[in-house]
Amino acid sequence: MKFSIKSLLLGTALLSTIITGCKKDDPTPDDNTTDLLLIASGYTDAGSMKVKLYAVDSLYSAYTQLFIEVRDSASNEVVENAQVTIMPMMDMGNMEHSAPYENPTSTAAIDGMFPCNVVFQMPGEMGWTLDVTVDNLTSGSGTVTLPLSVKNPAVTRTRVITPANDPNARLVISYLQPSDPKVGVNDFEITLHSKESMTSWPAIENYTVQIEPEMPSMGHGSPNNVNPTHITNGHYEGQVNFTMTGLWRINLTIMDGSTVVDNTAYFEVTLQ
Amino acid sequence: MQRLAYKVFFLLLAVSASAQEQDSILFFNKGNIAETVFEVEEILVRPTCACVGECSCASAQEDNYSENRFSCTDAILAKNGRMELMKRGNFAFEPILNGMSSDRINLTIDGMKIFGACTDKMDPVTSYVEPNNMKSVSVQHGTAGSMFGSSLGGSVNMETNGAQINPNKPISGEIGAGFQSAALGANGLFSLNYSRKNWAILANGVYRRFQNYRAGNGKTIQFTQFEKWNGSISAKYMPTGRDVIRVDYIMDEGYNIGYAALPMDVLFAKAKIYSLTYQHYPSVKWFEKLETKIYGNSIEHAMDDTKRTNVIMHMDMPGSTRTYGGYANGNLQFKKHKITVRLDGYHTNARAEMTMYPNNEAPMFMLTWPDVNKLDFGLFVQDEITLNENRRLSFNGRIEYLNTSVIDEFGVQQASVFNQDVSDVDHRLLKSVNLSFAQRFKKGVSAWVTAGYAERSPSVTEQYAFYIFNANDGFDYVGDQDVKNEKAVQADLGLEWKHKKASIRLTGFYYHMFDYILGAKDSTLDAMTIGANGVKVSRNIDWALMTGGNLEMSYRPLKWLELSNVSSYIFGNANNGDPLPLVPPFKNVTSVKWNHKRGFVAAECEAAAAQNRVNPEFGEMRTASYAIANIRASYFFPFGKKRLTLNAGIENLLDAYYRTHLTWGGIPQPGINGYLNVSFTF
Repeated sequence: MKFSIKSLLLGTALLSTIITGCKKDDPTPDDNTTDLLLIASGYTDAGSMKVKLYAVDSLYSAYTQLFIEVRDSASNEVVENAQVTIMPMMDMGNMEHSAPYENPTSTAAIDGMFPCNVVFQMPGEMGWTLDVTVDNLTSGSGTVTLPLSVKNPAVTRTRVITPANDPNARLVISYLQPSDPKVGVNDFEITLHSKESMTSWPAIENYTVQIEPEMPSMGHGSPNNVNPTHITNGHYEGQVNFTMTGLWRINLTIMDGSTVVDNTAYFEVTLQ
Repeated sequence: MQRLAYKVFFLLLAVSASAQEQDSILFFNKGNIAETVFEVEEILVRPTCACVGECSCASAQEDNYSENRFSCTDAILAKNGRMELMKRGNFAFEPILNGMSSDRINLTIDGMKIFGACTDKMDPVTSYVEPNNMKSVSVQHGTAGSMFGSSLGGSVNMETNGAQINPNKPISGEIGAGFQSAALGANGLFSLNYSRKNWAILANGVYRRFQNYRAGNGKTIQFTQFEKWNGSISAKYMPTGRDVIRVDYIMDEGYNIGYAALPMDVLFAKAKIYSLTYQHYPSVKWFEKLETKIYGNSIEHAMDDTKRTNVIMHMDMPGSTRTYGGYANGNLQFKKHKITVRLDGYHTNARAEMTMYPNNEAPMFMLTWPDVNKLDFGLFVQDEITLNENRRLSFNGRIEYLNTSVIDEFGVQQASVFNQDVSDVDHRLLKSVNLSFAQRFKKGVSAWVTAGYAERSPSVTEQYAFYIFNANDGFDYVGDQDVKNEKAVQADLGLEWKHKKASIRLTGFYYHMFDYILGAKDSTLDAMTIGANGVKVSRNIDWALMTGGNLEMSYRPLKWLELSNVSSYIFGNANNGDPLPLVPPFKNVTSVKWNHKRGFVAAECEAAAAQNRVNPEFGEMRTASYAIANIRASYFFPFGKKRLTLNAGIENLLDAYYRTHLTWGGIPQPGINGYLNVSFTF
């Protein structure tokens, strides 16, 4: 069994490498996009820059890591220093809204790219765009609007909840870790964001979160889980333990002080 | 040429020869060394126990119990007054010695370490050897038995027959069939010994098939069926009069074994046991015998829930153990000192899995035994000193090094959910010492005392169990790698009076155990098994005690009439005053036997008091007292030197509905059971 699990994981890893490798677009010897998938690209409206957006996979309705590569459109040189900001938008026809996001934390590119994160709280084949504004600190600032297609993941990884204590509010809970769950102790991470307005979805930093993993078909849980606590920027980290393979449900209780904000949300993971 | 100088006498008839000869054991006797004449004799002896103090050697071949060869091994062990059987179905009962079960006692076959592969102890080693292949069972109590390994309760070594060299009777053997009514059980057995001048080969086979048995009220107890076969081959070769080479192979397979007391049955239990033994009888006077053995065995065990209704989710639970080992055993003789030195070692691996299959979901997999390797080396030294013809003193000591590791990373990860780091090797040193003194007084009175200190390492389950469900108390068990060794200070006392017509033997023991390993409820943990009461984790409790005694009386007022009575009682307590779980109550077996030169008729009454000292935390319920009556008879018809033997009897004559305290799940024992066994020995 051990071997079959291992070989399965190995196989999956290998397969995904091959798939992403095949999908790789525009390879340049000096870049680090080998394992990444090109999502979209375009030229900024000013500042003569070409912006390429990469991700590790197609975009899904989830907390998603994005990588922005900026090149000088004339020299095709990678821009290593720039102030990059993003703004995701969803145009639903009758209304528009934004999404929780995290701008690149540094003006210095990491391996030639500016990593940033977006929580696509709903799927959309059309409608999603990402505004990328680059101030390259030398030739000026420009913005490009990149169209995105966001799919519905096989397993729910972000939930928009109407809090029990406030029917007008919205709470966005996103699952980050474990991305590769295994039997034993796993790092657990979620993010919490609230809707302030259609275009403002700030991180929540003062809630407490309790987790309770269970196997729905057995009704049992697991011992010694560590409830996530706020680290930074709406990220809550703890530990989740799985005692066996199979389908696990991680039940969440989210509290604002002693008020229960939500105790209906859960995320499911399957350990092969 | 030199070999021709040896006078070799083979006096023993084959293994399954006539009843009087069946209690023979192979016996080598040194001749007069001064004349450099070495005699090897295979002579008829009753099984005697070589120990100072109390030990017993039951023989499966003993004429009193020629029906034994149709019984299972565990049933023969239970005839020892200090042994009981833990029952979960109608097969593979777990032997309990001095109130202690398999983790606390040594169970060996020909000195070989064999470990059951079932996490629920459904396959004690006794289930893998058959009485018609067993020469004797030696039982030693407490530290007196540390020759076979470190243990608290004692040692049970089952010695197999082995091929018998007897050129005067090249072919000998037995064929037999038996039937019993309570479970519509059928037994078939055969053995065949072929001997030439200096080599012999023995083949043995047993087949058993039992249906569900009927309890005392006529009700059929579901899931008590079983089917098994056992085959063995043994070959012996004597290149010289001083050397014996022996090869043994035992194969045992059980199928469709019902376990009424458990939520699952056994699909199969398979054992392969093999060994190569070399014995040397040096010509020097002080070196009596050297025996070396290398061995290996593998056990495969799989549980089965497919025949049960109300199974919420199908699961597979296979388990296996693989053991390799060897020993060298030397017997030395210096004047009054009889010294035994033994070096032994083994490597064993235990792995057990559990996979559950929910509908439309990924299978749920875990390791209930996380692929555990144990490497063990032991040194045992014993000096038996004959102070004078009435006084004997014996000292023995054992030191054992044990190294345990979890080799599957999956198992290491699993244990981390309990904040346990089992990635490191666990080293343990086990020490035990024993001192025995026996004194013979006048008028047939003798007495002995043995005292000792012993340590034992925790079992794989106690260290590494991962949610192993115990059907008796309804808890999932979780091990703890860091659980401490269990220790015991112990004393055994015995007093015996032997007379031509009567004998009385009174024994008592007291084992004070420190760091007693017991499952302790951990209410912070959630049970895994659906419907389980919670989780218990292995813990050391400060101390526990086990004490008890045994009274055996026999009286032969007439040459043909024999009355005997065996009573036993055990008391076990934990330091907090709670009774230790699964301690048998007071038990008494009385029998009257009429002996005839061609057989016997015996009437037995087996009775046990109620057991009200129970520990409900371990799922124990009180057990009512019971009494059952059995009658047995045996008769043989001679055909020259061949013989046809009939054994018949009725067990539980009054069809009492009863259960024994050590039977799990409150399942009743079989009701009235008639049996008839026919065997032909040649």
